[in-house]
Amino acid sequence: MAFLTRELHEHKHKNGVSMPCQVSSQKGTSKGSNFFNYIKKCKSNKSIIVQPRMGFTCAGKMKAGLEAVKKLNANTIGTITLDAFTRQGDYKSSKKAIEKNQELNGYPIISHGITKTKLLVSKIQSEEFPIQMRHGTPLPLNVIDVALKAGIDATEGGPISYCMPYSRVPLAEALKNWAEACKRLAPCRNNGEIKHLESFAGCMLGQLCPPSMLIALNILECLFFKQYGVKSVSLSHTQLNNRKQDFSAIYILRKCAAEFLPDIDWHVVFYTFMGLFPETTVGTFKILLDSAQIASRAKCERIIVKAPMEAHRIPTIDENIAALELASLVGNDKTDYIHQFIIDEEEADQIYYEAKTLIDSVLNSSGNLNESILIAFEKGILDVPYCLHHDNLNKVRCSISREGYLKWENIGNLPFSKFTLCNRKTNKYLLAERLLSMLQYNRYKYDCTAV
Amino acid sequence: MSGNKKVTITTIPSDAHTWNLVYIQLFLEEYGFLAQNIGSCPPYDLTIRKCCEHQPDLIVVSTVNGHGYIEGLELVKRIKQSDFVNNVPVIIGGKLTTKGRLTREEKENLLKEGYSEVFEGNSAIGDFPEYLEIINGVLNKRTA
Repeated sequence: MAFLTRELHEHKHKNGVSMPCQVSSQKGTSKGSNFFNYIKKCKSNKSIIVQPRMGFTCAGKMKAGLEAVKKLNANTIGTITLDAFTRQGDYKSSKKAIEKNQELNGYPIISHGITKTKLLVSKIQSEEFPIQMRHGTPLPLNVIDVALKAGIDATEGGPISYCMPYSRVPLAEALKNWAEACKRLAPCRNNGEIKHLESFAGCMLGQLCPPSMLIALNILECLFFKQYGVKSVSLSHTQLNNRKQDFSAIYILRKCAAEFLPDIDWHVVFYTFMGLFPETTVGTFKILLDSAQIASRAKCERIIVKAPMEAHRIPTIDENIAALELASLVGNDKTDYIHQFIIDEEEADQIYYEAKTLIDSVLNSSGNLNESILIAFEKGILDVPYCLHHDNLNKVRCSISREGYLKWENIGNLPFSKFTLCNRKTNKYLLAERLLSMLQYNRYKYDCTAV
Repeated sequence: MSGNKKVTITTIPSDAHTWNLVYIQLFLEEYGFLAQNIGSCPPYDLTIRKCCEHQPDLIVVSTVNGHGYIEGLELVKRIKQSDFVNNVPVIIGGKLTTKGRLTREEKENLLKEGYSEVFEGNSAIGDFPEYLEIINGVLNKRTA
């Protein structure tokens, strides 16, 4: 343990809070996309980029939203989030909804089509304002094709993170489809541009997934992207229930990224809490402020901000803008010396041990990464707590410890030899209530201490 | 345990959220139901097929992605058209629109199309046991 701790210190010293390595351009033909270059630029300025999760049905409103984000006096990236019909490949329903003037929960990129989307993007996107498409699609080939043709050079997701929690698509099918999509995002002879792909694995089910599993899945997805030629990736982490565990997790995420992805460009994106959100006005702002502080102290290059109203409905453009402004102010406040980056070394050691064990177990199980991922889920070497997908064993359970750390309560078939289980006294007849209280942990924490 | 009532828990085809489904399952199991949980994003036909197999006493549609009104109408229409499950009470709950709350007209349309009850807003989960009690008489006894 002492050795591991020392190693952590050395790592910290050597890499600061680690900078991604440079991508070597392929025979001088590769050039960075808007997204890639902008991240690099902001990183050298040491300023955090804020990004919304914005998506509107109507192209006019989408344009207005993007313009408002662009105008902000902050480092921003624009987002086009797709609607749920498009995510599920049900383009007929999204088309019908447009015709009927019904409001969807995002931008239906397929129904609007390439020409219309290209017009929208070309008017707004620039070197100073890249746009990322966020989509939630287990089979993303169609939407990624359209996005690329419309001039969007960055997207996100992953064969595990957009399949297991959100769909009924067999994992094997998602892996195949994502493989093709990744090839489209790789620089090629005709188009040497370095496009960007973010792994969404830091947000599995939004909450109640221990950080070691999130880190392992992030690394495995990025290795998957890399094997199909993707040169620029990001790893994600969503706000948990305790700041120290967040710091420890992000620290280990970077350590693993440096170890497993030494030859491609990477950065870390932080998400404001993705689970049940506080409900009071003060509570929602407090959790948002905390997330911006954590992201900036942990030197995350980018933060995806949640607007306070998101607990109740799709936020308006103004509400999105206010949240971004606030996050940028707090995230870039260089005069705040109170909130420091402090990790819990014992916890970091344990997260590293677990994440590394998971990654190694998967990589060593066969010579083929895709096969290894399938085997791992089948055997429960990878297992996401409470995930109902039929390819997930759903044998593991976790709970929130007294200090607010997410800990394993039942490790199922996870290959750990070193662990302590978190056992909270429970009444087996009150499982629903207990689950609800864990799901609402942050809601209580921020709403009750709000005043 | 004999005589347990059966419930099918489902959602609308576009809804990928599952915490609501996991929670509702535990909740109903505590009320003695034998639960079948169909999981995220079930196509309409799959919900009907699973219901026909399970022959539930109650069908619960739980959805939070904001498309509940649009797709909830279609789902209940199809359930009511099915010869095997058209008599089973169907209820819907969660966040049913992107605008916060349903309009009165929208809620009435859901009821008219075949839902026995619509649960929305903060009081929804509090109202749920009462509803279960009403439809099942004695089910408000914990299995403990």
